[in-house]
Amino acid sequence: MRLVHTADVHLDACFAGAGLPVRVANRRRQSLRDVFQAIVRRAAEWPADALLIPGDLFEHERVTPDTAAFLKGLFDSVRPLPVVIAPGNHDPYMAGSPYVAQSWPENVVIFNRPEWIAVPLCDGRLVVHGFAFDGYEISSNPFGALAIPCDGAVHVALGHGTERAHQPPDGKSYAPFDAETAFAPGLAYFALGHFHRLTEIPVAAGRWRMMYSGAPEGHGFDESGEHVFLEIEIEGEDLRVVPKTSGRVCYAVHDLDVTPLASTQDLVAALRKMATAYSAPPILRVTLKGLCDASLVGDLQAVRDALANDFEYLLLEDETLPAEDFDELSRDPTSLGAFVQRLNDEIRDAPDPDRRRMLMRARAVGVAAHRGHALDIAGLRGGEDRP
Amino acid sequence: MRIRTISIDGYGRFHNRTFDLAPGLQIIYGPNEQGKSTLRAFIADMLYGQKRSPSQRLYHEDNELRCPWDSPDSYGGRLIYVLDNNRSFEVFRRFDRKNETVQIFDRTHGCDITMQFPQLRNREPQFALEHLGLSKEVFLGAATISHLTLEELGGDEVIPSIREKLLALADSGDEYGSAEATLKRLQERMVSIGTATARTKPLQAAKARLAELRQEMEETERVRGEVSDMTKRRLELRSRAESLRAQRDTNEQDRQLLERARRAERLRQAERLQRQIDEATRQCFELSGVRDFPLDRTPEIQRAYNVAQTARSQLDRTVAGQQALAAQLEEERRRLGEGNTGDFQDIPETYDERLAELSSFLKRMSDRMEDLETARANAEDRRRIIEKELENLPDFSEAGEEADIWLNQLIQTFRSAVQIRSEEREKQAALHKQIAMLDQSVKEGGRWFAHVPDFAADAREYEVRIRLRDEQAAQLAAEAERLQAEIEEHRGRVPDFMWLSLLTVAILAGLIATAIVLGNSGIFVAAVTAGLAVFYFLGNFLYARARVKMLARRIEENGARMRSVQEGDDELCRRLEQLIVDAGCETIRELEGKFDTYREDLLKRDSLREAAEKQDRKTAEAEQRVTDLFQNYVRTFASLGETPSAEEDIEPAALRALERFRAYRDARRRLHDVRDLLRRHDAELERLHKDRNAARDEERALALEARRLMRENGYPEESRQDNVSLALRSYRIRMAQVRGKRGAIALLEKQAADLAARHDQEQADCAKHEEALARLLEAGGCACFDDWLRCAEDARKYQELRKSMALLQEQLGSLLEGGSLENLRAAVEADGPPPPMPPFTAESLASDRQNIEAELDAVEKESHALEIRLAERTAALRPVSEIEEERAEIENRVRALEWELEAASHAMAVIEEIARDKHARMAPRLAAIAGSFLREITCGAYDEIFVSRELRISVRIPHTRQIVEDPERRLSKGTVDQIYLALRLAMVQCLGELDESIPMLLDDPFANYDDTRLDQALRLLARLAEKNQIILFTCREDVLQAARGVNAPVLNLQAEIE
Repeated sequence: MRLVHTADVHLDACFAGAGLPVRVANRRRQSLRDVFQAIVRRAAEWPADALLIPGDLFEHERVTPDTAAFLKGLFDSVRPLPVVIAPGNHDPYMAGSPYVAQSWPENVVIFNRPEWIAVPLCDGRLVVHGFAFDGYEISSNPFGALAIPCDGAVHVALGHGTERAHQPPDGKSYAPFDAETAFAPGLAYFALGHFHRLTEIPVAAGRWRMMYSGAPEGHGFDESGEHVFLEIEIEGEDLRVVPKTSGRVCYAVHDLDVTPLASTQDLVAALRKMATAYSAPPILRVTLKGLCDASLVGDLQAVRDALANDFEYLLLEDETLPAEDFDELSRDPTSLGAFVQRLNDEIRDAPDPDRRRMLMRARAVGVAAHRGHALDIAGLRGGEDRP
Repeated sequence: MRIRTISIDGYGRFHNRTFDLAPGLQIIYGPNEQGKSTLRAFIADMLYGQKRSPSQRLYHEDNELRCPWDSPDSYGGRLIYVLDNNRSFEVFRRFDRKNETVQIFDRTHGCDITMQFPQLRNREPQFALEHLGLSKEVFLGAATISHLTLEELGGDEVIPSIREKLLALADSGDEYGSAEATLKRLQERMVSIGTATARTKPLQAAKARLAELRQEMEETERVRGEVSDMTKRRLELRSRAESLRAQRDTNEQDRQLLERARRAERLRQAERLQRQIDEATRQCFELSGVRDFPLDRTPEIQRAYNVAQTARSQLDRTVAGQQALAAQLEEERRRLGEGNTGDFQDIPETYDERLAELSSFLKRMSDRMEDLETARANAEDRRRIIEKELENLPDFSEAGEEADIWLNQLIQTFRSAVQIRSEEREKQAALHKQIAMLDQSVKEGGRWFAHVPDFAADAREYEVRIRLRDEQAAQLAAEAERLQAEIEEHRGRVPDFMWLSLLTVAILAGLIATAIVLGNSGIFVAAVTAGLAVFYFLGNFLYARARVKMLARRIEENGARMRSVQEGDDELCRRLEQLIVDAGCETIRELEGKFDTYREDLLKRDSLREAAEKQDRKTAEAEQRVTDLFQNYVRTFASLGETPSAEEDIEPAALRALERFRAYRDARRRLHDVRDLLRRHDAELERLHKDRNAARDEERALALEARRLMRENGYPEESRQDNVSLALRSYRIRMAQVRGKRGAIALLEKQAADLAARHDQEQADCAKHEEALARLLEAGGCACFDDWLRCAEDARKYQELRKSMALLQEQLGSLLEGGSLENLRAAVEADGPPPPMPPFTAESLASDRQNIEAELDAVEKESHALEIRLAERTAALRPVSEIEEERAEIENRVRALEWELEAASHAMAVIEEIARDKHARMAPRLAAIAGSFLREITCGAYDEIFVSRELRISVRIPHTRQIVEDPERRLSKGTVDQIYLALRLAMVQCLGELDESIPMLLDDPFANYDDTRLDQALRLLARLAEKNQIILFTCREDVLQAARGVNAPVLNLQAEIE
């Protein structure tokens, strides 16, 4: 028996939280479609006996008619491969959902109630159990209520929820469950969705396994690293799970000390060197740190433009400190010295970091204006600058 | 700081050169290109280094030019300087970037102190900043005065330029970064971001876009709701379509059942029809004799029969008509034969028309002539009346046609003169009122300031003393605090030492007693130790008590001094503080403000008094002009019948004269018109007389001719009519009567001839038609028309039978639906026993099916329309994610811009406050010092420079003694240079008064000085150099000579090189 397991695709996701501009986000959304399409086709060509999608295939409040059409066409193109979907908290089975509003090809099975439903496939040799979120919060949590009959068939389950032992401390729970109570005896494999990283939940059921496949591609800088889908083979008493790389773009976060850099040329070179560490143009968020002249970080848009071919997207955050010695400047017996002295005092006594950053900017702006130097205005040229 | 020795290993044009400089004024002489600027740059580089960035080893490119080509290792040198506290230092530098070094030696103590100074991130030790208290920019800006700087001063904006430079020096240390310029740049920056009032700037544009995006999001949400409803409806429609298709299938089954029952019924009907067809075939066989009868020619034969009968009847009617016409012709001929033998030819109607025209013309002539006579008499009457009116009006003929303009000008001129006089009187009154108010204000200010000879200097001195007093008070308070702490410390020790003393005394006594009792000499050793302890603790006890007493006394003394300082015994301070109280002020700043107001009022009052004198003169001139005009107008109006006695009468008199002139001009115009009219009437009457006579002659000739023609045409009765027109009309009536009778006879004769011809023709036609009828009957084998009708009836019956058979065949064919009877019979047998006829009919089934199809069609159409609507509604929508992302992007942008705006605004507020305060503090001292310097340089010609709290500069002009803020047009270039030099020197004094003295580098600042002022300037520099070292670079011989006059040492670069 061959199965393909993927989840948390989040088609039509919004990338505002990751700070990506619209043009990049549109490419990301298309990339999610491409990745998912490749997984579905792989399942058809392998060939798998069923494609399991335990939730969050798309985002209900953002899904477009075009995405629904794409999914219908894609699933129709791989008939008779059964596609089994257990709607999650982001794509619940409720009024207005494409699951309800669209007529799906006959090879698509969508669970539609928050209780376990058994669907026999492959002439009864495979039985898939699943349930659906009926809203953004599930009305009744079915985990722990699954019972598997001893009928000689291979039983697998699909579920979307939070396994308590692996829940991040600050994360919100959706259909929370404990692995031991959720994994019913007689179950060969439990395909889970909700966590965006490949996570295996250890269970005391011997060779049988319970796994989160993770998202097939990252959705932000908090989902860096490799992303996969799972190929599962069940032969008699044996079960084998093989992760397959699916993500095409890598998100990563770096810090860069600009103190030794003399010009933007050096900065571009340093960033370009970072890009070479990745097999494909990555999406990087680089925080610039250290001491530098204002000219070095004055026009970050130009730096981004220069590196447009090296990165899928480059987000630069400026946390550099001015190279100028403001303590020295504050000793000048001039108005400028007194101004710097006043700002130095205010910065030292600032009640919060935001106020401190504003005051540091005021100091830099005031000094530049005193000297007749131009200083770039954050946000003037586009929306990608971050104050 | 004083620079003592410059030792250059390699720098620009210098190699292995050492210069010792005097501690005061040092002249360095040399023609152009001898290295003066290089020396200045060397001093600055030695003190501050060459790096342009404080964090990195980045250099100014022009430093490359000074590197020796042949030996870059020697690029550098030494510099020795002495501080005001006489500590001497030596700086050693190598500027070569590959091997850059810097070392500072303390020559007083003979040690390397490089590491004692804080280092910048570019590894530059900050010894110069520590020793001078100035950054490199401020040192170069404030302490260096070059001729290039002076050359920039000129034109009409000299004083503002100097002010700008001073502001910049005070604010940023260079000559181009004043706080005002900074504030302007910051304001521009804020404007470029978008202030609250802007509409099109980036911040407002971003906010507007944000609002649009929010609106778009709401619209998208609404459309998504609509789409959801539509999707739901689409599902309902799909369900309904499925239901309808099922109904259609049921209907189809019912239809097939009905078809079977009807097929059996059809077979039964087909067999009945077959039997009827057989009977009709038999009857046709019996009538087969008339099968070929030409029944179709029956209408033709009927028509031929009718035509022959009609022709016969017409021939009979024509014969009767011929007989009646012959009788009527005979009667007419008889009636015409009675008289009427004339010709009665036509006379042209032009005679009548022309005669009528002439008669009408003559009548119009007479009427017109009568009208003209009447109009002429009326015009004569009007002419006499107008001539009488003119006799009663003044004669304006000498005033010409433009007398009204002239009179209006007189009115306007007089009115304008009176108005000017009123305005001048008002201005005069207002000025006197302002002067009175200023007198009051000056009097009030004078109570406080008039008896103070130099309030500004007193106020500055007061501020200095108050600051000093505050500092003294603070020092005393700190001292008192320290003493109190020390007392507390000693008081705490007193009881401890007392108890320790008592304890050790007791131990000592115990030990001595023990030693005595036991006789153990070893115990004495311990007793000696105890005795020493007793001395120690007792001594400390006594010292602590004495110290407490002494400190208490010092605290009392300190308190007394504090009270003395706070009360103050300074007469100036008391006087000014009393003045502050008297003037109702709270601070000296406020009092200074009042003094400024007082001084301004004083100046303003003087200025207003001058203006009032001028105004008095102008008012008198205006009065005189009105009087002159009045006298002239009295003389002028006398000739026009007006005698104005007062100014107020001038305008009414002029208006009355104007009215008369208008009446005079009107009467003259009317008289001219009447005379012209009379001339036109006379001319027309003459022309009308001539025309009337000609018309009468023509009328007579025409009448004679017409009468002759009537007589010739057989109408002698014309002589009975006097009027020829009436005669012509009678002639024409008679002519019409004769012609009518002759025409009637001719018409009857023609009709008789026509009838005879028609009779012949009709007779031939009748024979022809009867012959054609006989031929047609013969074709059907009939002798007469009745035989033909009988045969035709049999033939018609035969054809009806044939038609009936065809109809039955057709019905049978329809029942069989293209098949044969045998096939139908076989199909019915195949259907099995015929089912009972269902309760529904084919029509009802068809109707049901039609309804179902219609509803299905409607559902599909609605579904299709819904699909289109769905596509339309969603086509123009952007995905929610995209909108959210753009919104986040724009929100981010708005935050960034607001952040920038807040930062710039905060920087502006702080800079404004600091600059205002700094300028206000600096201004009095700057003015005092610069004024004394200028007085010295100009030998007292210019003795006062005023510097306001905004550093606005005013100078008292010697020859007018006025204080003006824009004296540039009254100052020579040399004086401008001297004012600038005085202010710059004063600025250095102000900047350096709290820290180390600053060495000054002057580069030929005397380009426009005359000899006297050059001498004076050098004397001043020599005096100042006693405190601040001054190194003066010059290429001028006269400066060299003058320097020798003040005994300044001269370093001749040219001689050194040679």
